[in-house]
Amino acid sequence: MHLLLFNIIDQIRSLGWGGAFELLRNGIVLGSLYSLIALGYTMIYGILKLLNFAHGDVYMVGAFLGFGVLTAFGGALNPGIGLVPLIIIMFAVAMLGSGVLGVGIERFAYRPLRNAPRIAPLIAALGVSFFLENSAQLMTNGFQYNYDAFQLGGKNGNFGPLFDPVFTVAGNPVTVVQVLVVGSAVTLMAALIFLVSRTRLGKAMRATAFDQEAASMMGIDTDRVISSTFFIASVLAGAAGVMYGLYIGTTFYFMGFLAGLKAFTAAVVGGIGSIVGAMVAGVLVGLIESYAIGYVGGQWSDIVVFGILILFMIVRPTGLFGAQAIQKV
Amino acid sequence: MAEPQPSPESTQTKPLLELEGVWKSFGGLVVIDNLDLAVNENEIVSVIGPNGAGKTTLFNLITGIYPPDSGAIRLDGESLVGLPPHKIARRGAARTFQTLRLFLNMTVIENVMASQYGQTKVGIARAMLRTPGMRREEREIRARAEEKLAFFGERLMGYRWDQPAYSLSYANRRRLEIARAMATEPRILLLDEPAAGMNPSETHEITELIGKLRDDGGYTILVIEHDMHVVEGISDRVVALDHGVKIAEGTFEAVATNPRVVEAYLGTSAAVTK
Amino acid sequence: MLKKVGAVAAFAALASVLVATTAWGSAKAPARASAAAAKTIKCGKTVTIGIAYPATGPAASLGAPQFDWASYAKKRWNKSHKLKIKLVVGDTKLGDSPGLAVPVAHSFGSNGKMLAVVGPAGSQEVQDSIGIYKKAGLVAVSGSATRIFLTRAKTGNPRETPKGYFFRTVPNDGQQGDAVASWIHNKLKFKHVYIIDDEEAYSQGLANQVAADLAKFGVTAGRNHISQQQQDFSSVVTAIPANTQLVYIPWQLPGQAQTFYNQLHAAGRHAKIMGSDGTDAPGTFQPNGNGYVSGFPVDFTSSVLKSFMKAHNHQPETFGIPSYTATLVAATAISKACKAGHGKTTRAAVRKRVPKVKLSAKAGLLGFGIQFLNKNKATYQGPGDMGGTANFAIYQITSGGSYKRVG
Ligand SMILES: Nc1ncnc2c1ncn2[C@@H]1O[C@H](COP(=O)(O)OP(=O)(O)OP(=O)(O)O)[C@@H](O)[C@H]1O
Ligand SMILES: [Mg+2]
Repeated sequence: MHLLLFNIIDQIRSLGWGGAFELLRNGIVLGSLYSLIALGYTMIYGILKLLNFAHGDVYMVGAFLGFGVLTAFGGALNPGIGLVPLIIIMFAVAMLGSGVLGVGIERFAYRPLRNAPRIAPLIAALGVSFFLENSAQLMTNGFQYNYDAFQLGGKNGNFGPLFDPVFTVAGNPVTVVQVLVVGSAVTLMAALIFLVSRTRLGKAMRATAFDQEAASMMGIDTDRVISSTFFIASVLAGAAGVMYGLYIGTTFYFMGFLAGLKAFTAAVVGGIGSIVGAMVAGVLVGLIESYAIGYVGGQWSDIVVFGILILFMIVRPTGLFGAQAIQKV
Repeated sequence: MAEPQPSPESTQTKPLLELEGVWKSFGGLVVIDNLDLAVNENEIVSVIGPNGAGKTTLFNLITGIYPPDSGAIRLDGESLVGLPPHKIARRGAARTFQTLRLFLNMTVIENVMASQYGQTKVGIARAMLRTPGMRREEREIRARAEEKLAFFGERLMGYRWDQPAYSLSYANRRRLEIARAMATEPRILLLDEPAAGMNPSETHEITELIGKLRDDGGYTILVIEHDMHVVEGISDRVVALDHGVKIAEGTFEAVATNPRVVEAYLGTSAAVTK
Repeated sequence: MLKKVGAVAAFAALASVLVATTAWGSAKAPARASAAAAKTIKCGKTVTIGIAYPATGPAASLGAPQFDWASYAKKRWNKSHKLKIKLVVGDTKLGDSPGLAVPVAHSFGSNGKMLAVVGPAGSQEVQDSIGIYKKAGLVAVSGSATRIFLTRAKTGNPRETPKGYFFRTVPNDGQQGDAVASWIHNKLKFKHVYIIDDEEAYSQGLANQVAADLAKFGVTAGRNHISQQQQDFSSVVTAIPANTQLVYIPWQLPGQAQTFYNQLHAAGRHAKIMGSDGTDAPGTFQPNGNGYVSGFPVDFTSSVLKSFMKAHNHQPETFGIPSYTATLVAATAISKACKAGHGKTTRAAVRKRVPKVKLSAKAGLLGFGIQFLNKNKATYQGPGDMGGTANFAIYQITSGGSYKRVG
């Protein structure tokens, strides 16, 4: 134990401020992705009290859809159109496709079980997750597919503009793709907050989440609201999938599992059902993971992340922003 | 959708809400027993009856929480049987709940805005793309919500609108439920014990309000109420239920003195005396 | 993935170890063990070999080349032999928790026609299931289980497999580690090395071995760990000291290794990178001009390899070649035993034939001849390992992306 502590201090010293910044940067970028996925867990839980285990796999499908667009346009090394329109189309197709997939999952796997005991949709969610993972595995032979994002837009296989530095902090670059990931994540989250708090759909969503039956008697088509919620949740996951592909450079059929688990952790730590909670906790999980890898060692990162989850649940079971269990009168 | 229109002439012949031979049982227990009921346009009809008589079940049947085992339920001549609750609400039947069911995770005015969902076309794209038309609609919804809340005067004043619904007092929660129901632009309001839990002055106020809802708001009202002062004060007509059977119908005086009604109440509690 | 499900996985692992040890323990009762082993099995026209590999699950991409090559061995064998072979598949779901190596072993054991097994693929799988194979009298010939202690006792511990039941057609981690470490020290003369394993038994075995060997040369290597589900290596890259000359990544997934390389270089690091046979995948792992791998000294001009590639999307699927060899070893042993028994044989007879099988370098495709040791050799090899010149070669990855043998 002392030795471990000594090693950590040693590592902090040797990485210095530059390393600390790099870890901060890495954690925020990764955490933005976790936040986007965590939002889906929290929204779907909020409206159906369902842990949608398949959500991580929707994110995986999003990554593959983005990859499909990239391939259809000739691949990263040789794209037929400009970089900016290409990336826009990748996002559009992946977000739309994932959204439709999410709606389909709800329609065909969960809706028929709406009035079944709570455990039934939970099992169905596991089933959908396995279905998506194994289908993807069969279609991809279990191989990782390379976005070649590093070469995207570059000449002769050199790194493309996505990996150009936008600015540097203490000599450490922050690249275009990192800004792109965080920037679009923040934009999407702002749009979501706006949608939920300001629009009628948002109000209908909150009403349905609080009391589905009462909402339907107030003229709210709750099935449609639930569909919309799945759509939005899945759109965010699909966007995260493409971001991941562009930033990390690869996709594979199993990528949704661990990312989903971590995002779920974030959703719980943030207070399941809380949108702001999912956003904050997603970045938090990213940061914890990043610093744990950098300072303690990769073998500890998951233990640290999930250990914190357990501790947190003991200390504050409602999560960071959990509702103070509003009493129905 | 338009504001509730004053009735055309035909209402004299055709009731707004009409139940015919409605049955409902839960696992062998008959809760609504061959019930006929008609509510005319602009009328206030009270439903009374001892606990467990089937009054709330009647509302649940009308609003589509569950379908009747048999029988017909019509609003303005069109059948409601088999429609999902939100479609029934959009046809013009809105209700409040005996056990308050406000959206406590939202503000006062949001509660009233949320129930206008059925009046507007909603799509994610439409909601997100802030076209001028959308913004106008959004403003209109807020204006309409404010208008409904204004009905309650001092009680639900402007400063409360943006407070969370859970911060309201019990009586105000009942008022907000009515405002929320009004915002669905119904033709008939179904109020389930609107005076329950209120003190005498609040009860007096709600009695006046129900009258005002009909007179100024133009609503037709079907109300369940235990408080006989309220029932006497508002009703054009009273219907008494016992074990799901209609045991009396008529003016308040006629029903309150009907021996079967007195017996039904004495059998459970002597609540019918004022 | 295993440790994420923490307690469950630990429990499952404990349970499977218990099962394995009790199975092995009871297998020591000679009467029970010999019953299945001594049962006469008719050879007929077709004999049955089981193949235990991950057809699905996280390691499916490693299982696929094994199955492709084993099937290819069957096809070639059946073309030129009267006694045909048939492969029965057992999906062990390596990497899933719990994996299915033990249930697969049970089902192979109770298959009355089965005479030998190719696999299991993972070292842990071998350890978990070998007791069951022994009880059933079956011999296991693995093309990828490389942990040293499967065949060579660690001081103070017994061997992890009973002698005569486990063979492998792949050089073990000790041999590979020695080859890699001496290459780094003697040829590259690097002093600052960083080792990252992927937390699977295969990877940790090699990483530990190379670290230990480098330590003997006076080189202290930094260590870190990633998981096979991980793709974002940005923080691992941050943790690598700036003066690092070589990052050694003995991983199982070449795509993951390539992703790591890309991220390393995107972060402006210029260390060389070295993979193992797990990442020996031209076309996927291409740290052009900056990398090395250890791999089988495969003869890429071989007509057998060429025709395999033609049938498999032009991929050599090098990782699966030892399974081709293992299938040939099993088939040869069975055919010899059948001949000796005049059309009848037993699992025990087949098992005893395996250590006597010899394949030429050309027939085995691996660049070295196959013959098994019957006693310990050097520091790391024991009975069940290959003798002779069997070892890994070192390849340099040229700036054009092709693999050039350098050691
Ligand atoms: N969903 C249900 N399942 C089974 N029984 C029910 C259900 N809903 C109502 N009941 C039963 O039907 C009967 C009538 O209930 P209902 O709530 O309609 O009475 P009520 O007249 O509104 O009484 P109160 O004055 O107490 O509100 C009761 O015996 C009740 O237990
Ligand atoms: Mg009631």
